Amino acid sequence: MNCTLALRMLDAYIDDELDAATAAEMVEHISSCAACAALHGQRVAMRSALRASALRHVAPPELRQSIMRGIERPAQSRSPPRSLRWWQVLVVGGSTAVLGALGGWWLAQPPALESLPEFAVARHVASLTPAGPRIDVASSDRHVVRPWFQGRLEFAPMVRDLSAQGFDLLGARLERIGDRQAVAVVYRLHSHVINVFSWRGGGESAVSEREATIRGFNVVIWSDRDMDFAAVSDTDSAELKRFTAAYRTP
Amino acid sequence: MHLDSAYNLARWITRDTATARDAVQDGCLRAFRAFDQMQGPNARSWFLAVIRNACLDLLREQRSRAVEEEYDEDLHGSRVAADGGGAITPEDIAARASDAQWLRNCIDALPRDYREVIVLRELEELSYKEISAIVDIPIGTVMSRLARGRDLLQQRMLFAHRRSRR
Repeated sequence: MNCTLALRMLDAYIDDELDAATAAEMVEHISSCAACAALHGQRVAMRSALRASALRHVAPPELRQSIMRGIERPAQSRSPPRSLRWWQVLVVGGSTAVLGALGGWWLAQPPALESLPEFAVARHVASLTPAGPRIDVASSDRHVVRPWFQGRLEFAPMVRDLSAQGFDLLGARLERIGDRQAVAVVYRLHSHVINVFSWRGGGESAVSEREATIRGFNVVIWSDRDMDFAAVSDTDSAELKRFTAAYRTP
Repeated sequence: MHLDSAYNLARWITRDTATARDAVQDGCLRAFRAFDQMQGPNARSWFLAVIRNACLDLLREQRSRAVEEEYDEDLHGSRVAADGGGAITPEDIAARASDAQWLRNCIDALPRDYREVIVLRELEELSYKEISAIVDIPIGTVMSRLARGRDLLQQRMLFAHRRSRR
């Protein structure tokens, strides 16, 4: 390798973007050419200076909050009257789609524990369509629902028959919580949809059961062995707790 | 969390806290609307491309009020290699490396084309392929802009260093 070529390749070399053979030629050239070695030294010194000195600007916390508010506002201003006409359902559907999109954006991030209820509510809202909750495998028979996930999922979802307690199984669908594969098992109590999300937690987020209310949705979060769960519904919190207790009982 | 990356990029492109904030807000709204495209391993690049476009739109609006300062090459000299024996040494850089504000000023003084690829490569540590997607230029251009940008930055650091010694 000559100096002209080496200088042209210098940046790709320090950026680790060269193929192995060319990189090896660079190493050889730099070790034998003082001028190119000096330029290489400057580049390396500049890189360590840039990376050592906390030059990255961090988003101010109020920016994060105002982005959240900006997305929520259109949904709230369109809150529906008590009796819904079909077109109103579409309007609400449209605004929840915005919330759903927000949820999706959050979900593209690794889930932080404190924002988990937000994730879960966003995914819950995203699943609600005017035609009913989104479902990949629709059945009230858990022996139909559970096997559907074989080969599609790295764990077996927990699907329980809770019809005796008043919770009708509607089905289930594949989900994502952050970068994790997840399942949402969908139940109905009267007119309320309940989504139970479950995913392999990896232990670091082991929490005892806790509750939250976000934008009118109740959320219950818990861990069981290596699995994390989040139940979300617009039913009242007492009913959701009753559901969670039934679902958790083996 | 991509929001920090978004804000960092916006702040370096716009060189202003308030404008960066507005750009990130705009960009997030655009990104949410086009959520369907935001799946898969390229989500971060795509999101940063949206943020970058929001920055450029805002800057274009502001340009009616002020012209973006251009880097004066005649004043600051051109390629470092052509500068001869008085070139900056790694020791010169190291001597000032702890001074973050000084480094920031040096980067801020670069034209935007070079500034953004340097920020994406050195601060966000993205690959050429990712930078190419965000800035919408071929990978070869990423490489040549980084080379030129680093030359300019080294030159700038030397210039600022010498001036501070006087």
